[in-house]
Amino acid sequence: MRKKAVMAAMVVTLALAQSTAAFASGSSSSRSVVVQATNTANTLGKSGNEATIGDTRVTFVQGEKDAVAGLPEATANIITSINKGAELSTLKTGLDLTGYKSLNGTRAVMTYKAGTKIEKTGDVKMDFYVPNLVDGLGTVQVLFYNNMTGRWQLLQPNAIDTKTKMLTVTLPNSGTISVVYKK
Amino acid sequence: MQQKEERNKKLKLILAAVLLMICCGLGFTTWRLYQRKIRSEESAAAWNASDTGKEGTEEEFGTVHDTVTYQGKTYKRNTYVKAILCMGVDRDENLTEEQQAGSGGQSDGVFVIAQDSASDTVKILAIPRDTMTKIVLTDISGNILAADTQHLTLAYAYGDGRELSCEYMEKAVTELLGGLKIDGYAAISMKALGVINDAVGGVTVTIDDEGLESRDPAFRYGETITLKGDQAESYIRYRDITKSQTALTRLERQKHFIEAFSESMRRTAAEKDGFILDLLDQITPYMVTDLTKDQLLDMGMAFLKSSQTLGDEDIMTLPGEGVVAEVYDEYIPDLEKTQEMVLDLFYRIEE
Repeated sequence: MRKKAVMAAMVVTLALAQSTAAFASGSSSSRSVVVQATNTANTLGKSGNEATIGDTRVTFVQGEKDAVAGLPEATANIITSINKGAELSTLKTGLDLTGYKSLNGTRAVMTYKAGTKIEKTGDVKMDFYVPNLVDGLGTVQVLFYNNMTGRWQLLQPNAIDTKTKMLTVTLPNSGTISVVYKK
Repeated sequence: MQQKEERNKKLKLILAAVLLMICCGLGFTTWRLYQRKIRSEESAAAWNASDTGKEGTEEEFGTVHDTVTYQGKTYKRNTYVKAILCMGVDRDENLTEEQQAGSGGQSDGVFVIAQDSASDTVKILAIPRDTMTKIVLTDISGNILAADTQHLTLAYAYGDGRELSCEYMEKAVTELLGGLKIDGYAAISMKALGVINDAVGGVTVTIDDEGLESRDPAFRYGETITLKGDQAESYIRYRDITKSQTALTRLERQKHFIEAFSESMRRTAAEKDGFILDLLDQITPYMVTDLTKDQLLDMGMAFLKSSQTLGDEDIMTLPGEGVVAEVYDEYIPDLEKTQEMVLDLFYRIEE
C-alpha cells in the first residue's frame, strides 16, 4: 500500500506534444503538468515546465537551440531530422527503426537532484500527456537519446492509456525523447 | 462588576454566533464546491466513457447531412443561410508558410457565422476552443492516425498551418454540429488583430477582467478605452492559464470585441470609399481562406448595408459545460441543445 502511494506520488505528468513547437491543448487543470512550449501561447500547466518527482527534479529544456546544446553534432542532426518528420530508419541512431514513425517531436529532458542544479542519474518514472495517442498504433515505444551513454535506445513504456492520452515511461537519466510507433 | 461580566458574556455570545455563522458559511461553500467538483468529474467521466457520445466509422467522420431528422421531424438546410467558419490562429506571424504537422498553431477563436443572404443579417455561433469532439489526429509526418476525441483547437495544429488545417477544422466542426455543411472558411493569424483594429480607427471596449492590467497598464478594470495597434491582440488573447476555464471568459471578451468592431467598421466604411477592399488587401498575408475576394467583398458589403446592430442575442455560445478534467480544461458540448441551435440557425422543417 505504502509502495503504491509512493509510486503515485512520484508520477508526474509531462505533456508531450507534437514537433519542436510542443503543444498540448489549452487550459491547465488539477493535475501537476509540465509542458514544453516554444511560444507563450502554448505554455500551459500550473507547474510550468518542471516538476519534482521524489528526489529528482525534472525539466524540459526550452528552445530548439538549447535542447541540443552540448550534444554531438551528429546527434543534434538526428534530432533536427526527427522534428522535420524524417523517416526514422534512415537516421544513424544505431537502432533498427524500420517501420517506426514518430508520433511527435523530440523533448530534451533534464534530471537533477531535487532543489539543486546538479544533474543526477537513477530511474525516474514519468507520465506524459500525448495528445495524439490513439488505439491501433501497434507497438508504441519511446525513442531515447541517453545523455550519459551517448547512445539511442528504445524504451518500453510502463503503461499506455489511449483514453486519457497518458504514456508512462521510466527514464534512466537526462536525455532526449520522442514517442514512436510501429504498425 | 456584575454589569461588566454580563457585558462580557453578551460579547462572547455575539462572537460565538458570528463564528458559527462564518463556519456555516465556509462549510456550505466547501460543500457546494465539492458537489460542483463531483458533478464535473462525473460529467467528464460520462463523456469519456461515451467517446463523444457518437457512433460511427472513421469514413463517416465529418460527413455532411443536408437533411436532419430530429424528434420525428425532418429538417432541410436553408440554402440562403451560409455557414462560414472563422478561426483565430495563435500564431505571431503571417500564415503564408506551411508548418510541420502538429505545429500549425491552435485555433483559439472558433466562430461559425450564419449569414442570411435573404435578410442580410448574421448570427454568430461561438465555439469554445476546449470543446471535446472528434478531430483528425496525425503523426509528425502528417500521416492520419484516427479521428479521436480531443480539444477542438488542436484540429488546426495537426494540419499544415494553412488549407489542410482549415479542412481539418471544417470536418471537426461539421461533425460537432451534426453534419452541417460549411460553405466557406477563413483563418486569420492573431497578428492581424492590430491591423484590423487600426483599420477601423480602434475598437472601443470596456475592461472587464482585472487580470488584463498585468498585460497592459492601460487596461484598468472598469475603464472604457479605445484599443490601438497591438493592444487589440493583447485584449483578445489574454487569459490567465494558471486558472481554470479562463478560455471561456476570454471567449466572452472576444464576443464583445466583435460587437464593438462591427460598429466601428460600419462607421469607418461610411467615411472611407473602398474601405473593405483596402482592409482585405491588408489582411491577406495573415489569412487563409477558400472564399474568393469577391465573395468576401460581397459579404462585407452586405453586412455594411444591413440595418442590423450586432448584439448579445446575435452571438451565441455552443451549449455545453466547462469541466475541470484530469490534465486540461475541457468543454463538454450538450449535443442535443447544440442540434436544436443548429437547426434553428441553418435549417427549416421539410414540408
